Amino acid sequence: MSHGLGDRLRAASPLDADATARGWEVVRTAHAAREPVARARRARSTATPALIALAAAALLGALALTPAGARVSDWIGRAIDPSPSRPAAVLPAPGRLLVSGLNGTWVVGHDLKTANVSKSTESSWSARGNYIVMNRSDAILVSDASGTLRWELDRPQVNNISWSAGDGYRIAYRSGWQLRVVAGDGSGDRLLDDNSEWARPAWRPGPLGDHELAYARPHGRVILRDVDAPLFSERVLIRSGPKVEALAWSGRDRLLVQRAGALLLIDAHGHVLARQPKPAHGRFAALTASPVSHTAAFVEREGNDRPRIVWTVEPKAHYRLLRSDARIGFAGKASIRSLAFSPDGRWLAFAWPEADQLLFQHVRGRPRLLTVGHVKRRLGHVGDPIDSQVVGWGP
Amino acid sequence: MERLFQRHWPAAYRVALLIVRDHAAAEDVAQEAFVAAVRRLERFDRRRPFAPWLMKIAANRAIDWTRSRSARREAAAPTAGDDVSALAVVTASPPAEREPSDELLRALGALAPEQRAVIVLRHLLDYAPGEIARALEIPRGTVNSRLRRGLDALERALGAQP
Repeated sequence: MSHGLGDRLRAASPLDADATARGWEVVRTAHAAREPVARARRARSTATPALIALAAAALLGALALTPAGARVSDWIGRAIDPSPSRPAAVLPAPGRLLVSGLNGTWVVGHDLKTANVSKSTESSWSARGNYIVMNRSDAILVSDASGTLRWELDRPQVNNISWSAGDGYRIAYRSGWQLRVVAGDGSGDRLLDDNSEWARPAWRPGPLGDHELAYARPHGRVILRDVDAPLFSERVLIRSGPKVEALAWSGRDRLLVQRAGALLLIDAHGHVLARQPKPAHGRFAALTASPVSHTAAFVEREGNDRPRIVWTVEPKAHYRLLRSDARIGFAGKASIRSLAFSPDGRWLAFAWPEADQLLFQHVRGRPRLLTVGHVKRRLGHVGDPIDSQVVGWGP
Repeated sequence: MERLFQRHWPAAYRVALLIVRDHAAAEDVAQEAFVAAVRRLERFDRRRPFAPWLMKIAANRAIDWTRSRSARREAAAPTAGDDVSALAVVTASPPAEREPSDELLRALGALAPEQRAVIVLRHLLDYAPGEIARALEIPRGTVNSRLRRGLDALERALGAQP
């Protein structure tokens, strides 16, 4: 039997040139990504405990002295390697993914089966994952997870849609420059602000019936408002500054603000608790927050040819944002524009289009990275796969 | 790095494919084995050969993947309320022309993944039983018994082919 078995095994396992090319892209990127991580580790290893303690005690002073453009790894004192990855046979946590881009909107089931639900380029899960709100150039619409339309509302240039957590009774969205709110059943559509900035509004976590919304206006203004009592509840959190790009609540009392020049952590009264300048030749992107904890995640990019780094951080208090409970989940050349936490907050999902993969980063405990390959084939892509991003992970 | 990849990718891919018997999964497993090896390069004793180290990672991951898929098949039971199960599945499996259909692959598929790994390392890569024992972290006697039983089963299966 064993005679000639090697040749038969070789003949029965033909190589695939496309698989080889994709494999090389992944390996090359992983190899290139080793450098910044090694630098971060060296920085940590040379820091004495006394220095670390001093850094913690004099955080705000240190921030003032930190030159603009300092690496994130310089201000988050504790960094770890991107973890080794393994292929996933199912999603690592319960729920379903929502993937959106110019090719449309897709639901990826727990067993990785995919279904196209619409041609919409932007989408968001409802609070319990029963419905999906999506945009069209001239309408906002809601369907169930199978793509069956429930209602639609004619509105021009719909963008930055956000479905409230808690009872899930409100949907905020932009229509041109207007910020509007509509009930989850499509009723009661109304104007909230006629001059909003291009940034997804962020619903404040809280009791079921609360519908407080943080959103951005031009000139760096950030507003917190109860959408059910809009005339009497406005609170200005940030009066002016660089353009606001993203907002994410880290728990009920801390708001992360991604601006053109920095990441800010502010409290619910607008007091700045911490500030981090952006990288010298890059920026932060894809800020998002866990639905069940204080953990937040964002992407650091330094110019077009440098690796992107996905960080998770737990900004429980101002001195902790900058030095502890932060980790690198991924470092590589990638187009990552969106991150999504699992409903249980234990995993972070994002697309790595260059490697045709979805990645799942374990947020707590032992570092782990799971992968799902062949995204193009799973989604039946006809256009540029770089456009498709994981925009939500519903229950 | 490119030379290293070109030299060892074919073997890693084949080892993975012969164990998992699925092109897409084999590609994932081979990629992950390489990436894991790259990330541990600094800890690797460069006086030792790279290939057995890489194949150890690839074979063990392929076995893990096969086990997890089996476990999933046993555990998976469609539920009436599952939204996604009611949806049209657009694409979930590799193109038919790439499915391994060779009778040898079918016969291999009847073996336990651990037996497949031993046979592939021995007969595809010409590893000695001692090397296989070190790679898979099992006693050499276990390697020999898995080889013997696996080859006997293969012979029976292939002999029974019409």
